[in-house]
This record gives sequence, structure tokens and C-alpha cells, in this order.
Amino acid sequence: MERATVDEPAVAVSGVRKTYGEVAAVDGIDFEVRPGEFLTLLGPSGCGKTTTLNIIAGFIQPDRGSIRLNGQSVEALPPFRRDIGLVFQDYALFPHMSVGQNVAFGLRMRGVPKPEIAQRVEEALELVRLGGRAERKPTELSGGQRQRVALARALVIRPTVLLLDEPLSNLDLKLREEMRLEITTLQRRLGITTVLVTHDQGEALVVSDRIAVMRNGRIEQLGNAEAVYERPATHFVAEFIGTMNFVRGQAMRVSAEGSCIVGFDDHGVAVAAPQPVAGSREVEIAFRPERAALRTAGAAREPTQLAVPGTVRRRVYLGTLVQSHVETVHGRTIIVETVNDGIRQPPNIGEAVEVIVKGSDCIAYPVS
Amino acid sequence: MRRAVGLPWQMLRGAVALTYLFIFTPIVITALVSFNSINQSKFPPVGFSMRWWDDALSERWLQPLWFSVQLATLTAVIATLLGLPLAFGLTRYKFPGRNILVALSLGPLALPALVTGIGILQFFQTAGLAALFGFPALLIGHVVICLPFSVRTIAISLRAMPAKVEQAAANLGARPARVFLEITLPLIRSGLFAGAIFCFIQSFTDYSVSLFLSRAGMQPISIAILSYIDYGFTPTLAAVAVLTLVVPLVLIAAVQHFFGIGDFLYGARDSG
Repeated sequence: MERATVDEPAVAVSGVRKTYGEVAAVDGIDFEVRPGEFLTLLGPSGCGKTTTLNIIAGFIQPDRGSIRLNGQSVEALPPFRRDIGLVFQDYALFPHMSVGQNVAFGLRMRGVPKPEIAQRVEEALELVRLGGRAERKPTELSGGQRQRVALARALVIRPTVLLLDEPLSNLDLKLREEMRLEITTLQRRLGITTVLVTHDQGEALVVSDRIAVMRNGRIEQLGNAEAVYERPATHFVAEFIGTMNFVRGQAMRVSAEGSCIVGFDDHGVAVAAPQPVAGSREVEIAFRPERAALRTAGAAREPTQLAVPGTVRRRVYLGTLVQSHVETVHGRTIIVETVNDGIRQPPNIGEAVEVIVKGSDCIAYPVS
Repeated sequence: MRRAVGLPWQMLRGAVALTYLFIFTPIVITALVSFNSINQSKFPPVGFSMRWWDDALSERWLQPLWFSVQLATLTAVIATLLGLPLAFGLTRYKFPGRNILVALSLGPLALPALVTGIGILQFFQTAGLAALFGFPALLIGHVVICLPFSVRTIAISLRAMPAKVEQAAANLGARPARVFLEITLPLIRSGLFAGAIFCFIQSFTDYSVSLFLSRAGMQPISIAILSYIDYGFTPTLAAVAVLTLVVPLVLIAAVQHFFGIGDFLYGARDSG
């Protein structure tokens, strides 16, 4: 494969669509992965992320659209000629081969000379901290070790792009966090272009350079962790990433592009509106638990603040944070996080309070 | 593993012991009967003699025995070679006529072998293939009745294969043929051998199909025994019966030793 020029994306997916009967698993998606970038396809099950991965790997033929690796079109190439490293969810190690033979497989298929295979297998196993385990059978390894063998097997062929299909979902929490760190460290060190598929938004936020949030076969938002967390483009993204509070309000006046004045109860504030909202229509106003504050009911409100009255129903102690669950008069629950700094005292259960949040910390979405 | 103690375990042991007793007693009696010194199958044996064994090991019996071994071996090989692509197609692909193929490949299992035998007999006669009677006809008939066994066992091992290993191999650059040879075949190996063993035994012990398709000098051992039994159950027959018992047992032991079909039958030792 030719070397990529500097500006050329390592992976370019454009206009890809795949339907099964009436259902579009992937409904026209476009994205590019820059050389060395770590891109995550994030979404709930059935959003099309795994189908997209399988289309890139060549296991599924798209109905439409093109896949380019380093500028070369690969739609016509079968999986075994695509030069892609893939780590499967259940690792898919060859049970009848030793760890070393598993890692050597891709090199053997490429006709790499034997002495070089031996050396590269050893290097790859060292890379994933499994040096000296080449003789073991996959069944003799722990889940985390199998995961690392799968990683070594995919990396040893020096692929154009590394695809990771929910690689951490079979590991327990502690191991998952360890491997998360290990994979990102390795990825940065090798500078290998990586596409991760996951449903775990926490994982996506930690490891990715950019995240494509998917739903119903489409990309709802593509941006870095900060963008998808701070400025979710759609109601779905807002709900899917992190914890988000929603209250129902009314769009009073659509001011500048990307923002509007929303009315809530007797007051109105200017908030961001990434999607077009029509005047005097209902909107969902979203804000994060850590951006809201609590105060006793009835106190004066700043003009730029939104004030939502309610009653404290639960307190959840998280150590560094304390969550207060406030039930609004409309029956919604709002979560407010207070830093456990010993200064601010979270209110007691049953207390009537007002949730206060700045308009600039709110985003309005049209009611679907 | 838990220690086997308590009443349920005792009862299980009792049941197993009874089952074995039930299976082995007639075999032991048959074996002992073959040592009678008189030409009657008395039990307990009267006196001791090896002359019936001399009879049993004569050309008259060794010829059909060897014929059966050849027939069963070839049947097992052909049924496995046919069963592999059949099982592959049936488990991996959806295609028009798939259900018909399933019915055709499993049909002989539901049909009494006697009916299959008569069917093949009539077919060969009406098709003017009477010249095939003997080894060729027997081979065809046995492959037909054995195919369900090989297709079933191979299909089971194909389904039991760890998910995605074939995709993983393709992803690593293996062409379909390499994937099949290096990944699929080794992983279904014990299923292949188990299927072949079933076929061998099915063919070796069959008489209802063989009855119609044999000809003089081309008789499997089961038919030879069946024709001889007209003269009564003599000690010679007892010795021959023991001989026919030994052949499949030795074979199973050998295959189990070298290829481990137990993995297939009782859960794999080294997967997963």
C-alpha cells in the first residue's frame, strides 16, 4: 500500500448505507479518520456502529458509499486484502494455536520469512507485556491477557488502521480501566490510526481524540470529548453522554443563529439552540448536574438565571460530590451535584428548594 | 468438581452398574459359550476347547469380516467427504431448497433401513444396474444410511466452533481456502472423526440394507452370520460374534487414543 500523503485521511467513509430488508442499519454516514487519530463510534446497541466497523473491515458489503484507506478505495477488496487490524469483542483467538502461533498467523499469511516472524512476534508480545508467554494456549490465559494477545495479533501486521470492536466489554471494571489506559498509551506510542466501537460513553470520553455519536444508523454528532459533552448537538446526544437534566420550557423568541430566548414559568433566559427551534413552541431545556446549584425557595433570581422550584427527594453521597435529586412541580427529577467541600451544605430531604442554572449553561432542543 | 457422595450419587452408581451388567452379561456369556467342547451353545460351557475358534478364524469367516472392514472404512470416508460440504452448506448458508436438502440428508435416519434397502434394490433393478450388486451397491446403500450421521455430527461441531475465528483469520490476511484448512478444519476435527466412527459402526453392524444388496462372495460379516444362523447358534457363531465385536472396539479405542473423539461427545477439552 502506498504511503499516505500528509493531508490524506487514513480512513474515509463517505455516503455509506446498508439496509436489511426495510431497516437501514447504516443510513448514509460520512466521516474521516486522520492518520494517528483515535476515533470512537459511540452509540446504543443497534445504532449501526458495529455494522460500520464490519463494513470497513470488509465483512459486510455496503449498498452504497465508499471506503478509502490512505486514499485507496477498498470496497472491492475482500477482507483478507484490506490490511486492517481488528480486535474482536470476544477476542476470537484461535483455540488450537498457542499464543505465539496466534500472533504469528497474520505474518505467516503475508509470507514474512520465518526468522522475521519469530522476532516480530516476540516484539509484539513484549509490547503488550506478554513476553515469554508465546508457548501458552489461549485457554490458559486470563481475560485481560487474552485481550492483549488479540491486540498483539492485530498490531503485529502493522495495519493501516486498528479497529477495536467493544474490546473491553468482557472485562471487569478494574481491568477495564487498566486496559483502557494501556490501549490509549499504546495507541499514542505507536501513532496508529484507531477506530473504536463502544456503547460505553465514559470509555469514549477518556480514550478518544474524536467521538462520533451514532443513532439509528446516522451520526448525530462528531466532535471531541469536550464538544459532545459541553455542546451536544441533539437531544439524543445530550441524553446519551453523561448525566443531563431536562425541563420543559417554551421558545419565546429565536434571537441570533444558534440561540433563543426560552421561557420557563414566569421568566425567560437566553440559551443555546444547536437545532432550529420555532418561536412559541415547546422546547426541552438541558443542563448538567454540576452546572446547577440549589438555594432556598423564594430568593431573588439573577436575570440570566433559570430557576426551577422543587422539593429534595433523595441525597446520594458520592464522596467528592453529593447529589441532590429534586422533584419539580411538573414531576420531573433534576439531579444537582454539590462539591463536598465542607462549605456548601446540601439541603435536607423534603426541603423546598430552587434549582438555579445560568442560561449560558443551558441548551434548548425542539420537542420531538 | 464436587465430591461424589450422598444418596443420589449412590443411586446413580447403582443405575450405571446395572446398565453395564445388562450390556456386558450377554457378551460375556457369548464369549464363554465359544469355548464349549461340544457342538452346542451350552452355558456354562461343557469342557474347554479352541476348535470353534479355529473354525471362526478360517477363510470362511475372515473373508466376510475383512469385506465388512473394507466396506465400513470406505463408507465412513465417503460419507464424511460428502457430509462435510453438506453440513457446511446447511449450517452456513440460506438458499432455496435448503429444507429439501435437510430432509434428504436426514431422511434415511427416519426411514426403517429395511425400506431403504428395498428401495435401493428396486432402483438398481429397474435402472438396469444389477451388475452393481455386491460391493458397489453395498457401498452406495451404506453411504445413504450413514450420511445423516456424518452430516449431523459435522454440523454440530461447525455450530460449536468459537464465533468469529474465521473472520479473524480472514482479517489477518488468510484467503478462504487457508481459513478452511488452518482454522475451520482443525476446530471441527473431533466432530469429523466422531462422524466417521458413527458411520463405520453403522455400516459394520448393518444387515437390513446389506440383505438386499449383497451377492455370493461379496457378503458383509453380518449377512454371513445371518445366513449361518439357519444351522442354529453354534459355538462357532459365538466365536465369530466375539470377533465382530472386537473390530469396532479396537477402532474406537485407536481413534479415541489418537484423535480424541471424546472431546466431541462429552465437551471439548481445549476450547473456550
